[in-house]
Amino acid sequence: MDRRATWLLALLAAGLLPLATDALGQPYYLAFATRIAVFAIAALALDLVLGYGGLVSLGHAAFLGIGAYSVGIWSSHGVTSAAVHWATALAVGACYAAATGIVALRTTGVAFIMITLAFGQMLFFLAVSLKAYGGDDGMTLWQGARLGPLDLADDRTLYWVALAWLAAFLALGRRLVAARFGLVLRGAKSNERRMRALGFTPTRHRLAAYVLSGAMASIAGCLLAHATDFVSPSYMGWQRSGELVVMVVLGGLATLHGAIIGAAVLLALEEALAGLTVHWMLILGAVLVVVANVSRRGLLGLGATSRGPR
Amino acid sequence: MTPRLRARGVSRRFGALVAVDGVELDVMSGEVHAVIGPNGAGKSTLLGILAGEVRPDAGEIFLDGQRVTGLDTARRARLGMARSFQVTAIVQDLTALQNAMLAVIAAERGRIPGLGRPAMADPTLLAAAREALRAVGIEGAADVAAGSLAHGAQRQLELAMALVGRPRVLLLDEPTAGTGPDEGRAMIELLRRVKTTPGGGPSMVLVEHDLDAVFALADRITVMAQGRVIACGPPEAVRTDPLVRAAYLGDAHR
Repeated sequence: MDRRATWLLALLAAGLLPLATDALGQPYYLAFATRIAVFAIAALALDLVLGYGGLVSLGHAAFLGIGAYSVGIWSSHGVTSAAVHWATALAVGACYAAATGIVALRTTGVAFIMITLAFGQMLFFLAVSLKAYGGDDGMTLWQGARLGPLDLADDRTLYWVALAWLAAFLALGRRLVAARFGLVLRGAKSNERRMRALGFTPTRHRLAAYVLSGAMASIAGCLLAHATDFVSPSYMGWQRSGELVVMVVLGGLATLHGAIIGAAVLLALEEALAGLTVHWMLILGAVLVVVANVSRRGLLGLGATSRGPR
Repeated sequence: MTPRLRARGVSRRFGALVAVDGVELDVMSGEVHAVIGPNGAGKSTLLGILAGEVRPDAGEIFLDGQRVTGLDTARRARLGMARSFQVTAIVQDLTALQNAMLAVIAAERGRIPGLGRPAMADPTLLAAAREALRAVGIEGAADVAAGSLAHGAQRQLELAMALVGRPRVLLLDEPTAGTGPDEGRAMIELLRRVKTTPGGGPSMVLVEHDLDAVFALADRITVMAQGRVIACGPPEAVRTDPLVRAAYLGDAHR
């Protein structure tokens, strides 16, 4: 199956899904698909810095939190315009990424992991301390968000909106990594010394990627809040950051669509296994160990080997 | 005439070891200036200081009379100082062509590498990168992952990247190291062609152990021992210098 056919099929499946869940009388699965799209956006954003930049951020859930609280705080003051929520999330997410990125990008490797983790936890505890906005317990959003005539409280509308964001970010991301920018990012990941000797200052490219990634993941946070009508610090725990890393690695690093597949598979596995046993984490762990051992390039790597060399 | 590259009294110590001790070096425009000496003489440290990778404890570096001592590697590279490393530094998991493309992108000064069209579909960029590979004779390996190239071809690729953008100064750290006899000869021949580039080749600082390469290419030779310059002059004068012979013989007898 060639590339174009695969993309068309994926698009078709995404388009027909609402009809299918209607026909089956299972609206739950539409909400579940929205959830996948939301986490796919966050994973795709992470893949930009993790896959292409080689920067293991263990603090990306902070951006989900920024997005979610942008929705939550505005909504609690009666502002239900999704455009306002999104613009706030984009701005705050980008500024937070720039501020923390300047510090974190002075380091690489384990130190970078620790610093992003630390910043993420700082934001987590900041959210916990926001008593006016639910503190530890979080807060329920009583009013659904609206985008012009669109009511995002409607599951089907939100599904389309999430899908549109995902498609837009995928297109933007693909464009970016194919451009000179992406080539420089990959060069710096593999041989920073050579890049400096050529006259590049790779930190700038990494910071740009980190800021863009943060802004994208913040939108995912908005959509998460729209989908759950609830906001809490748990959205930005470090475990959530770890899950995002697992999604990217599981699907296949530095591919962008691998991150989407990783998000879908991980969430589907969680869903399926949690229905079987309360010890589902045990089975999930085993699956991850197998995939990591069989293919260094994640699930996409599995597909590529079975199809033979391209 | 102002030397193209000048080192004035540069020193660098690592703990108790004085790696480079008050070194003076003048490299004239278009000159191939070899730096030789026994192991541990401080040659690679000196090259690192010239390139901006190693901070000197004392002394100054000038490029065409402009003081560059405080500038980092990237800034010096943008001023026209290119280099190869003792251990070949290329981007292993990109193709040879993509490596050359990176060098071309680096040479497109002032341009912000933003969205734009896909790099692999940019005819200007591709043509310039192909030309860079052709200049060192590895255009046939354009689509091979750089890490899978033969060692000699990797060295050629590194040189190709350094030559993009016509640098003023080329710093070469043992360009024939680890190559077979044929590859070594090919590299010497290639450097000779670079030296005689129409319109003037770059000035070269050549740190090299292979004395055949040194005598085949160098206009002048600086000899270092224990961090100091013990001789500097044209190849014939250096070859017969008693201090140089002592330094090398002493090394061989140890």
